Amino acid sequence: MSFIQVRDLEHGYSAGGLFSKRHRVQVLSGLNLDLHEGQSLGLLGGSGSGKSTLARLLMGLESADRGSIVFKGQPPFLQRVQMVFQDALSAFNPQRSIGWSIAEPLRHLSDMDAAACRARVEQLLQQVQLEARDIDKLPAQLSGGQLQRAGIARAMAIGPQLIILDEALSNLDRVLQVQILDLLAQVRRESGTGFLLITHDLSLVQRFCQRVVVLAEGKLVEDLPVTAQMRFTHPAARTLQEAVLPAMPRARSVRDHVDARTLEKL
Amino acid sequence: MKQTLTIRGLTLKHRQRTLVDRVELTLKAGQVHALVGASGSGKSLTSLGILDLLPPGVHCSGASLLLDGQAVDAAQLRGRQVALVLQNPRSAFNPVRSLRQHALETLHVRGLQGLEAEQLIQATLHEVGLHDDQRVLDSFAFQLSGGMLQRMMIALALLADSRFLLADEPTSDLDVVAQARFLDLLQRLVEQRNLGVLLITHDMGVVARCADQVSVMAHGRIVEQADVHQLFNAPQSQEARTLLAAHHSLTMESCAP
Repeated sequence: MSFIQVRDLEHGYSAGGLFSKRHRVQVLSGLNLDLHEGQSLGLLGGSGSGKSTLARLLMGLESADRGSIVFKGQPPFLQRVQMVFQDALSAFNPQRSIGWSIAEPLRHLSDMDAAACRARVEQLLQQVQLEARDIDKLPAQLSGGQLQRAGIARAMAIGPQLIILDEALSNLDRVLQVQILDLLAQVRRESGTGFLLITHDLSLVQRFCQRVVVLAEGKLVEDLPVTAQMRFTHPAARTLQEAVLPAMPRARSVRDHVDARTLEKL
Repeated sequence: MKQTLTIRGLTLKHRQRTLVDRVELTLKAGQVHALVGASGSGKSLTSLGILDLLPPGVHCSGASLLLDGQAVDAAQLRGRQVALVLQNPRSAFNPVRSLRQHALETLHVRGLQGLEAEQLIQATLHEVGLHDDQRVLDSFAFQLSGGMLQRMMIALALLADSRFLLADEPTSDLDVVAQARFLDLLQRLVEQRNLGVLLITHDMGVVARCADQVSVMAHGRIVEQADVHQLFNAPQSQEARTLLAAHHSLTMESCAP
């Protein structure tokens, strides 16, 4: 039995200014997705393919033009789904402490008292490997990597069944990306939380996810289990796969050969 | 033809704190020299220090620039012999001027105007892959994508007829597909135009893809300088090993047979 069922989802926006011609942009058209409980799913797509739109719809931040999203028979609700955003600094209230922000879901979605909230925040900070004294710091006093971990702690606070990471690792360097993915894998093992990792970077999906779907032209064009040998067949998905950077420098002769080929194309 | 740009003993300080400590770098025409290191290791300050574009409060204490062995002043280099490409292209353009005005201004410095300038701009835009040139030139920075603006920055560097390019995290804000196209373009220009590039990055994938020489930076110092193959096969410094370990833990699974 799937945990989330998305059926025939359609969504679009109006583009253009108040006084100029308005264009209708159709982002999603006829998208279907089944998400299993406790699974970590990679959602891959190029810029403008509609990844973030899908995330916003799953979160219930917007309602879809057409189609349905059902969570175990109910509509989306923040108690079940939480999200970590790309730009960690702008996702925190700059005037409030980290501890206050992490406790925010607890204040709104649970009936914990102040002492219980504080105890839970301390536990969460420990879980994401932040120090206990960070609880009183302001967002500007933490580095990008620390702040992103605080964002993960906030998403975990209420114990959701699914956490959506919307390009949440894209602004971090490789060393930090690996650290955070390892941390998330540990959370998944301990609490059974499911993850939806939204990214354009296939190497992150291969490190962390069990299954990958590729979004292009408003629908899912690939749906595969993640293995070392997986190969996409859809052209848009292949472009993403081929753009992954090499692990080792190429031998000079091979490189010259490839360059000659690209030159011919141009 | 300018062949080498050498930076000697670049030291940058903020009050008494040393941020960049005696950095030595040599850029060669037709080669990509990568400068790698963790966030906050002093990579970006180094590139700004080379062109004497330091933020307020940071001062340079002793550095010499040599262009083909001749001592030169940073102010003579920037915008002419050496161009700079930044991470965030949107903030690098003047928001109230069209890209055509940016291009014409660059050529004006070289003394080119009129029809000749128009033709050169058109040809250069095609060279960097901006084929819809009239639309791009009439646009303002906020109306174009990050990938297009990065190409436009390179086009401006080519219009200035720069021999050397300092690129500070040029692909960090781009998605993987735009990144691959940008690196293709960079490599083509290095070969066809014999451009010398300093490529600042934290991504060893980018280094593997297009660098010839690599300098590894940690805490303001260069801790290792090596050929790219030597660095990947036998890293000497702790910093290089940390960067490569993170890189391989993300890529080795995907390239395993």
